[in-house]
Amino acid sequence: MINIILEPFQYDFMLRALFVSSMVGIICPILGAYVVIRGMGFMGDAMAHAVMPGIVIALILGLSPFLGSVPMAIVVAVSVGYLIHKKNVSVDTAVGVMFAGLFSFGLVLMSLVGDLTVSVEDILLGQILGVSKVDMLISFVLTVLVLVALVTFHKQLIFSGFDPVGSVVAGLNAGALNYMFLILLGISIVVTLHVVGVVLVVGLLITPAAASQMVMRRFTRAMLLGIIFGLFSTVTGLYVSYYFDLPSGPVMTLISFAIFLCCAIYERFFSQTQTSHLM
Amino acid sequence: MKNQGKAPELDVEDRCLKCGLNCICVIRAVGACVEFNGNLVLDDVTFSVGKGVLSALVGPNAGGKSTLFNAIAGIQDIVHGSIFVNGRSPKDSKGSISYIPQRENVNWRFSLTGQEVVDLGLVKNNSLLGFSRKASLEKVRSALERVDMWDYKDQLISEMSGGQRQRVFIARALCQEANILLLDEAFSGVDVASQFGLIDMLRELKDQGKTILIATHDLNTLADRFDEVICLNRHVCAQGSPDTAFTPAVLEELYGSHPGMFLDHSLGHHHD
Repeated sequence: MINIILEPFQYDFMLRALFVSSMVGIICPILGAYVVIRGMGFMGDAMAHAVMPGIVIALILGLSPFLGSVPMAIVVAVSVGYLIHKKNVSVDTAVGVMFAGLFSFGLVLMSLVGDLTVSVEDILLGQILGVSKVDMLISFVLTVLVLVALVTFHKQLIFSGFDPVGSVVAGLNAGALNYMFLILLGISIVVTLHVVGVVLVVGLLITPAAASQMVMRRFTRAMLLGIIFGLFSTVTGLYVSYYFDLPSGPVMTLISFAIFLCCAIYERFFSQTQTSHLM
Repeated sequence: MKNQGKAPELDVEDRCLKCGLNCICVIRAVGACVEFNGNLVLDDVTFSVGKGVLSALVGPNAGGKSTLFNAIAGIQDIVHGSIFVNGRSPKDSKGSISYIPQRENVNWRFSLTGQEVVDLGLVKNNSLLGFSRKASLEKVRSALERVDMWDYKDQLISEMSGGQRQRVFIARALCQEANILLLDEAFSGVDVASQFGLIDMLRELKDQGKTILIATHDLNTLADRFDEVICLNRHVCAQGSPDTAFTPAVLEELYGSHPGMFLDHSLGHHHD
């Protein structure tokens, strides 16, 4: 049994994959808890697609994809925030416009350059086994940054999400908090991209959080349970993909989906918790 | 034309327009106008509210009540006129006002307990880490006890009755230590018995010096519990005691051609 657990990690690339997967398993459910409750799932999906040009430009320059995708995520977050708050554009419209435009730009750029070390498929579905030491270090720093910001502003984010007008009257800067949240979301998505790719980011972002909110009534406790679900999905997914030679990103997403189904069944037949708002 | 933030400082002791030397004016609007896309939502609004007064802001839906609250709270610019809160511009008065939202403006999907909601009252930009755990708990406990909700501290607010929710929000306002409470549609979704309990509790708070303004589209049974009413339909139609303010002409101006239904509409006396 011990051998089954330890065997994959005789390889350095698997150790790096485990490390980054764990980071993702922690930050996705935390951010996801806010995303689910604020009804911003589409925003997460769209931001993942919209950082595509940043990844391609970094690859063209021979840099780590992080160095292109992080600034791109911040640009996208600020642009979406600007459209929503200053131009009175609806969230769906702002996100849809940025998503389609920038993702297309990334694909066209990739097609024009042609000869890149990474394929479109790797970007779309993730390339966890190709994570370098630099990528690992950057993902660790970004994860710590996101966690520190979330712990520090936890109550402010809850207040502004729960009672937007009351929080502004109480003196909170709702605009700055929203921009900060979007930037943190963008950074988390960038870290997650390496693990599951552009297409499946939203799966890890919202599925563990939605599953935990089904069975745990209180927001903060649901967030903690979401971390357990997220870590279980990513780490178990890594093992399954190693032993059965399957793509890791889809396996991780599938496991989190299975957890969601279990929670739905539990909630339906065994729990008194009413979670119709999540459906 | 926007003049918020440029308003001259007034003496806090500046007297209420209505009461002369008898009370301190806490909220004063003089010719305040708010415009959305070229339409005047508030037109030349002039009124004042004294310290320790319980007032109802009465008017039809879309009559500008929430907009006026937002202007008083400093989150809605006015295009003409002035609003003063404690003698200062609204934007300089943040912290002295606590806003209790109408039901539709709250995201009930946040599964927060009564205690957690009240604890939000201690959150401010300039104190990221807030009070110590013990001091916070004491403040929250004291606020919940004042509104008789300590026993429900662990219940989710989304599962409380309308009246219990309002009490929890009032406890949050107490934690904020604001001297002005703005309650937007406070009686919406609250049964009649709870409305009376709520208003009696608010009267206790106003006796302790809080200035309370409640927006409602329908006073019905509660009119006589207020010190005064401000009738608003884009402009102030009347301000005064509930007995004198609701004249047929004012009701006509507020609600159109069927004002009779609002006359004498009290418990057990439905204008028969």
